[in-house]
Amino acid sequence: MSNIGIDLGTTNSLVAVVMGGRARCLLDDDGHAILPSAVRYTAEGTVVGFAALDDAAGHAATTLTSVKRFMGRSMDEARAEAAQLHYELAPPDDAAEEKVVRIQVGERLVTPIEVSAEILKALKERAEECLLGGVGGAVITVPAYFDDAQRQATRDAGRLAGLNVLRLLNEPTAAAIAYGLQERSQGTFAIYDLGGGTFDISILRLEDGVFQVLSTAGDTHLGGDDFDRLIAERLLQAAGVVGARGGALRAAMEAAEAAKRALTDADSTEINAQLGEVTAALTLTRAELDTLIRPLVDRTLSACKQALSDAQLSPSQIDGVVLVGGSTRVPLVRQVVQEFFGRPPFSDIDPDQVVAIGAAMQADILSGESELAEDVLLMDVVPLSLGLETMGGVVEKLIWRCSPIPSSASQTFTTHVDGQTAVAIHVVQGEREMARDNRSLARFKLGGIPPMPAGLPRVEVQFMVDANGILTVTATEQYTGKQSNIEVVPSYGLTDEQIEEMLETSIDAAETDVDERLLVEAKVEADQILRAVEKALASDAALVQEDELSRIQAVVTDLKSAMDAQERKKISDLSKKLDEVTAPFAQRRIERDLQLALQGQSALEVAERLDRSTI
Amino acid sequence: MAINLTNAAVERINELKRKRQTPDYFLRLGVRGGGCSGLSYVLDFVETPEPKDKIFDLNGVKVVVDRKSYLFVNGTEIDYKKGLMKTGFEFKNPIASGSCSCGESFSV
Repeated sequence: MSNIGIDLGTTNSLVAVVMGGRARCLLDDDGHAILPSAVRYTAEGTVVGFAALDDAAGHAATTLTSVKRFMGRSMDEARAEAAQLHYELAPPDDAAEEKVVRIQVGERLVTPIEVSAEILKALKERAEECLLGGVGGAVITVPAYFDDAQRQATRDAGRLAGLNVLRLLNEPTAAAIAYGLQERSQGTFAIYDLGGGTFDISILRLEDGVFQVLSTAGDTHLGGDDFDRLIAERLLQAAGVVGARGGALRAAMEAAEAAKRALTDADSTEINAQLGEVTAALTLTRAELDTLIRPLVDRTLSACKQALSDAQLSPSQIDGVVLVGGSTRVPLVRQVVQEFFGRPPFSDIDPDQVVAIGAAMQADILSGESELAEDVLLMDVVPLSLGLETMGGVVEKLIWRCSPIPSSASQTFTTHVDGQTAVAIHVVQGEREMARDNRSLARFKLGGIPPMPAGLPRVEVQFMVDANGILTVTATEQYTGKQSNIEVVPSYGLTDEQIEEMLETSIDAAETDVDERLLVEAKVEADQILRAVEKALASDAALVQEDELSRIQAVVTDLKSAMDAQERKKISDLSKKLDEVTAPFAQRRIERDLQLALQGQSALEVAERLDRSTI
Repeated sequence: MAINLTNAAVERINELKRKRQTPDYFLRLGVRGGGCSGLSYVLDFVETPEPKDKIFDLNGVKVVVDRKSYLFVNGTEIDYKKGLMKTGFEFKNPIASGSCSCGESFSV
């Protein structure tokens, strides 16, 4: 059994395996390593890859491409994207259904997970054919910026395809592994990934053989297809074709792509294309191509600057640059990247295959019988803190932002009112101090707590983020062992920009947030003292002296009005004062209880009892 | 006696080596316990033979068999069939006293 590595891409997908200590991509019947990430639904079944793209224009309504853009997203988030891709989304339905994107394909509705599963199935079949010994587990790559929902969706697609998903691996990390960068003791690397339709730049830090993603930036709508479009426009212009559509436009795009490829090695190329009625001919030089695409290439550099500034690094602090994605074959791109980072990039491995190759190497290592010498430890980090809502709406963070994955933490909580038999666990994500300002991930209840005075039950809450970044929250009541848990599959995703925005607002709001948190905490504490005092006064009024009572009541009144006025300092001071003025009363109650307990018992019994109570 | 490959099997093995990008690999034929008739055939691609393996060159396809397995597969012909019911490698083994209908396992 061999483990496989899969690059599940927006435009193309690949599968690779380590054989004889070297990772190789598996090819299709025609010798292609890539499988276009395209699925066509027909009456007879599904067609995947090149076959789905053949005459895609004739089956536009039933051929789905770029479905990765919808993984783990909600209907609302998907609408703008869907319009661009000419997707038809399912008609608005009830609220629950709105959470998952469903795409109308002819008569049926499919989810992005189902479509991705078809692509994965095709790759799995390719692997099964080539590996006579059978397919073991799979490592699937995902963009570094994928959030929990998007990762979970990818994992689900793998399961649906019948794959044993060992791990999800960040694409830039996979590329770094492919070049064996983990074998260095440490370093900071930039992974420049320019594909057909997306651009990603990731800054990774390697420490003790472990990669951490320091920052990511990019443009979800910038890639080689945009280069083609510019060349096609030039061609149509030269041929005097205005407002080309359908077949003519496609022919122009195909000719443009061929010209772009030719100019990777040649200084000049002849384009001849039949654009509908018109025959177009154009000579394009490398210099002309460079001028055409320069603005687009410059946009990738702005993203590089952004990523570096987020990581608080300068280009000279980068120890290596890795090129990923077919569009990095364009000479101008290489030249510009080299100039920007001041060093020649790693480019020996086919940039289309490098991510799949890294994934295969990681899959091989996870098999435990690795053919590769060096063990690689991988570390990804939690992008936003994870915590839960406590009394008064304050957030208690259990796993902090930038904690390495996998990660776990637990903390013990208790009840707030007497006889409380259930606690509600509200799991939130974000950096803000108040739960309402963060992203709500899940709510669940732990019931069946035996009725006890407030503060006695012990509920241990454990947060666990597994290697795939999926969060499991478990609540356990310590006396009864009663347990309740939830695996968080967030129903909608967060974009990179949203994460960035959440971080920024948390910084902007830091001061007011902390003030509010301290106020709420002071109020919760004051509330607890007030409850206790009132309860004691009601049951043991006889133990209070008159003047003592009026002193206590005066402080109670002051404290309540301070709480109404939201004056934190005053609340804290008065809470302390209330504690002080009630101390003699509390002392008398304890002595009275002790007397009652001792009545009619032998010294031995009392000793035993005291012993037990100290356990 | 030796191992034999039909033309269809040679063609298929070469095709798979191409797809795997492992043109220099050996095809390993072996047997292991299991399957409906007691012993099963096992095929795999390997980069290098083990020291005591038997090595055959059959129409350009290098086949290796470990010595223990060879006791059970000596004389076997490997064919490749594409059919409605089943597509895959088939084994004709003169030593096998009984085989199951799927042709993947046998007894001696």
